[in-house]
Formats: sequence, C-alpha cells, structure tokens
Amino acid sequence: MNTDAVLRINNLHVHYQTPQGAVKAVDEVNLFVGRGERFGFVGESGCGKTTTALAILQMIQYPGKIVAGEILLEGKNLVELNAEEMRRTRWREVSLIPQGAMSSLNPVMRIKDQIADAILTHEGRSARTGLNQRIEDLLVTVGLQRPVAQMFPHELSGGMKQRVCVAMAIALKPKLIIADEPTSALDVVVQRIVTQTLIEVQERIGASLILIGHDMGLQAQIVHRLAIMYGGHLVEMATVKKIFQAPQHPYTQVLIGSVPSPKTKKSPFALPGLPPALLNPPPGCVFHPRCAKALEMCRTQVPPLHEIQAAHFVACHLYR
Amino acid sequence: MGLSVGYVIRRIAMFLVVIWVAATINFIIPRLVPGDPIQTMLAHMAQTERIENAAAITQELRATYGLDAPIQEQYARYILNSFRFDFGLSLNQFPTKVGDLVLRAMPWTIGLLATTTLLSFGLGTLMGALLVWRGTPRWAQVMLTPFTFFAAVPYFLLAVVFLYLFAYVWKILPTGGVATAGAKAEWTLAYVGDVLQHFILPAAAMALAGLGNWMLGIRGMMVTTIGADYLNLAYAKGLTDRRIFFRYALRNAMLPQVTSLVIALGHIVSGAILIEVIFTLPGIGNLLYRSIGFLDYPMIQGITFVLVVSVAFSVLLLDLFYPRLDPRITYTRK
Ligand SMILES: Nc1ncnc2c1ncn2[C@@H]1O[C@H](COP(=O)(O)OP(=O)(O)O)[C@@H](O)[C@H]1O
Ligand SMILES: [Mg+2]
Repeated sequence: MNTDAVLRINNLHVHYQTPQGAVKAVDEVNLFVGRGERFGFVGESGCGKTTTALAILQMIQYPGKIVAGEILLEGKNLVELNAEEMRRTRWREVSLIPQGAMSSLNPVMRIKDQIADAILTHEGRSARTGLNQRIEDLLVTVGLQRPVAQMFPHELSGGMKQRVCVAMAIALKPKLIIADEPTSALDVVVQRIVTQTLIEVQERIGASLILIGHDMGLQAQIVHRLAIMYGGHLVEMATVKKIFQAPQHPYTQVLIGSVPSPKTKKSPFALPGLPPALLNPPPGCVFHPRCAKALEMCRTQVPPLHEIQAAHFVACHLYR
Repeated sequence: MGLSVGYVIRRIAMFLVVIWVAATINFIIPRLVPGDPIQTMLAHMAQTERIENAAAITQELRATYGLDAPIQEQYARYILNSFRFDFGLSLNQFPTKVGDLVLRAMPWTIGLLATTTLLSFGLGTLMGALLVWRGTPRWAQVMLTPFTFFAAVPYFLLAVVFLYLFAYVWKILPTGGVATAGAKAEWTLAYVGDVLQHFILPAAAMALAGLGNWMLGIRGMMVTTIGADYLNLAYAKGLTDRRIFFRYALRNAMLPQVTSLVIALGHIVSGAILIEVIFTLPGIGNLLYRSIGFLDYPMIQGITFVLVVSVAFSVLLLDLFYPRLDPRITYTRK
C-alpha cells in the first residue's frame, strides 16, 4: 500500500427527501482509499454505509440526492460526470459486490451471459473472441467449476452466487471494488472462505477494496484501514492496529469493547439509547445523547474530522 | 432443460383425456335436454313444405344421425368421430358437414383475433412497461397514461362507437363483412387490401380494448421488478439503459403476462362472438351465434369441441414451453 489515493471523498452530503423532511443519510463525509488498499467501513445498520457506496457509483435513487461534495476517482470527479460518462465508468473503474448477493443475479439468464453482459458492454464486440474461455477462467479464479457458466442462479447455493458476484466484479479489472456486506447472508464458514477468495482476487488484480460490514472482528483480520461511521458521520478513521489498540472516539471504544473475546469476557454491546433518527438528528455531535463523556459543546457544535495523530482521524471534541 | 420425456408424455396424455372428457360431455348434454332434435327438424321442414309420411322420414333421419343404434355404440362412434373431427351434418345448413363449416370459418377468426391479441399484447406490454420505466421521457409517460383507460372499456362498446363514427358519420371505412359485396375471393392485391380495410375497425376495437389490460398487468409487475436487487446490479455493471430494460426488467416482469397471453389465445374463439356479430364477419363466433339461435346441435357441439381443444392445446403449449422462459420452473422429478 502506498499513499497515493485511488478514491478521495470530500465533504460528501447525501439526503433523502421525504415528506417529513430531509433524511441526512451521509453528512460531511471525508475519506480516502489508497491504491491496492483494503479499506473497511463499519457502523450499525442504517448509518449510511450503503448510501455512501451508492454515491460513489452515482446510483443514489430518488428521493435521494447528493447535495454537496466531491468524489474523486483518480482525480476525476464522479459527481460532475454526465449519465453516459458515468455509465462507462461503472464496472470498468469501480465495481460492486452487492449487499443482497442472493437476489442480485438475473433469475432468467445463465451465469455466463450475465458476466458476458458486463464485458461486452464495456469492451465491445472485439471481446467476443475467447469470451467463454475468459468467463470460465474467471469462475475458476473464484473457486467455482467451469460448468457453472452454463447454470442459472437458482441452481447455485448462496456461497456460489456470492462467488459469481466476485468473479463478475473483477471481470474488467477495476481500480476499485466496493463490497457491501458481501457475506452477511452466508453462514460463518462460507463467510470466511468467500472473504478469503475476495482478498486473493483483489490482490491479484491490484484493485483497492472498500469492504463494508458491521462485524469489527471480521474486518480486523482483513482490512488495512478502518473507518467508523455513526449516524451519517464518519467518526474515526485509522489503521486497524491503531483502532484496536487505541480507539479514540467514544463510539469506537464501545464498538471495540463489544468485540467478543474469550480472554476478557466482556458483555457485548453496552451502549444505552437508540441509534439517531437521521430525519431529525440531534444538534451538535450526533453521538452525544449516548456518549458517556459528552461535554457541553457537544450539544451544540458538530465536531469536524481532525487528524489527531499521523493518519489517525477522529471527529470528537475531546481531542481538540 | 426442465423437461423430461416422461413429463411430456404425461402432459400429452392429459391433453387427450381433457378432449375425451369434452367429447363425452358433448355426447351426454343434448341427450339430457328435453325435446327431440329430429322432431324440431321436422317442424322446421313442415313450415316450408308439406310432410307426407312423417314416421318414415323420422325413421330415416334417425338412421342418418345414427340415433337408432344402442347407446354404447352411439357413444363409441361419437368419441371416435370427435377425434376425427367429424360432427356429422349441420341442421341449419343441411346437408353441409359441420367440420367443413368450422374449417371455412376458422381462418377469419384466427386471422383477425390472433393478430389483434398478439398485437395488443406486444404493444400493451411494451407501453405499460415504459409507463413506469424511469428512463422514459416525461412527455412519453404523459402520452401513454390515457391508454390504460381502455382497460375499463369493453371491446364491443368500443366497436359500436367506432362503427358509428368511422362507418356511419365519416363513412371512411366499411360497416362490416370481410370484403366488399361481389368482390371475388382470390389472392390479388386488390382483394387482400379490401379485406384488410374491412378488418381495420374490428381489429382496432379489439386491440385497443386489450391494450389497457396488458398495460395494467405489466405495470404492476414492472414496479416490483424495478425494485429487485438484480436490477440494481445491472445498473452498477454500467449496462445501457436499453439493455437493462429489455433483458433484465421486461424479461422478468413479463413472465406472468405470457401465461395470460396463452390463455387469451386459447379463448380467441369464444371471445370472437360479439365482435364477429357486430361486424358480420363469417368467423367461428358468428357461426356459433347463429347455430345457437337455430338449435343446430351438431354445429354447437362441433364449435364447443374446437373451443375446448384450442384452450387445452394452448395450455399444453404453455406447459411445454414455459421452462424455456423461466428456468426456475422444472418438471423433472427429483
Ligand atoms: N429511499 C430512501 N428513502 C428514505 N430514506 C432512506 C432511503 N434509503 C435509505 N434511507 C435512509 O438512509 C439511511 C442510511 O441507509 P443505508 O445507507 O442503507 O444504511 P446502511 O447501509 O449503513 O445500513 C437510513 O437511515 C435509511 O433509513
Ligand atoms: Mg447497507
């Protein structure tokens, strides 16, 4: 991993316009992902992880909208691309391993046709020669057998479908792969194997990986750097080592404390209160109503993401 | 794919059983109805000519129609004849064979109704899908919406309105029939053009009335499909909007429509009655209508049989071909 960033997100704000008002699903998010880096993105359900991923792909659906911010993919601002330019960028430069892999394959199309679709759309007719071989090779790369190419999705198990999604995601050797909770629907054993496969192929093609998840323990073994999201805000971002050894944000500290460990026998998740309603987020720091260390200013002022040590970013007033 | 030889054989056997049951019912019903068709026939004859020896004629007619044989023999012969599509002679157009009359009427019905059904299915499915597709321009959606209104209008009402406007008020299209009176039926451009001109109004009425239903049917399915995960992934793959529309959205959303289409095609014959009567077209529907009025039992039975066979055959085709459309459906026994 080196420091030149493949992806840089600056001041991203995504709102869903509902009749009750704007849901601030992503609020002031700043991050970068290095070349070849595996970047973990964690936070509880509904905190805006998927929305951030979809924003990168410019696939936020109505009533959602990117209200502000830049998304720079190798310096190219995706927010400013027109629909056709963005369509050509998708998959060729950024691919997605979707959250619902079970249902993300077209039920009436053979696996090979679904992979071929992506290849032919972006590479044109010339890619036809040797296409079947190429698709089968891709399937072998992710640990599937060649005959899977001829099958339909319903003939595959959940783990196999997820592998197909992985094969599809690397078909065009993109610079960045976004995996949105790729294994959350699989059982633990399959989860590990599929994740292992994902890492292998990611390293082979030298792509960067954004791995979205809520399992800190799983993430810790896989990614280089972690970003913690809470209520639409990025609250902490640092290497896995720093996050686990010296978590700074009170929310991160609770999360780390909740990772089950036989040594410490801590009771999991001891966080009072509910996740914030993003429709009417609390003023000041979104986390302050549940924070044991909240200061007076936390109720009124939003803490910006701040580099408190080299490459360790925290958004908390305790460290100003 | 999902089909096994055993399944195909079983399914075809089932088709034959359905036809056998239909033929049996055809055999039984007239024998349960009070009244004697031979006497009815005699009564009709008596209106036009003097009947001298009624008893002898009755005897002769009974023999002609095989009504003098024992009931088992009558039944066996009836079933056999049904499968050979032989329903004897029409009473109304005596002594023409029922089979011949049906065969003569069939092309008109199929030509008009199969075409309009397929046309309205194709157009309606596409229009209904575009109605909710987010890539459709706003103006196109506005233009398409009024067509769903036709789902609420029965086709015969539309037919009468069309007839009134185009044939009586504006006099730009013929009022009925399949060709101008006196035109020679031959494969010339003039004759074919003449027939097509006569088909415009009934076809427009049927197609337009069907359109709304197909549009509403696909619209609901399309909304569900648009929210599916595989559509999202198709977008993420950077496929063109057109490809996503046809290969991912419409392809899946139309599966239930295909079932409806096949059933609609099977019901063409019965659906034809009113339109053929309104436009005096010499098709099966009109034939059935006149036969009922005349209590022409052999004719009614023949047409009913055709109806049953066409529905059963459509369903058979659907069962055999559906696995090709939806690979999740399999008929192989595990
Ligand atoms: N279509 C939508 N309309 C309104 N609110 C939405 C919509 N989609 C997502 N949200 C809201 O945006 C927030 C973030 O959602 P999401 O990005 O899916 O979270 P995560 O992936 O972290 O679970 C949630 O509070 C959710 O309720
Ligand atoms: Mg999510």
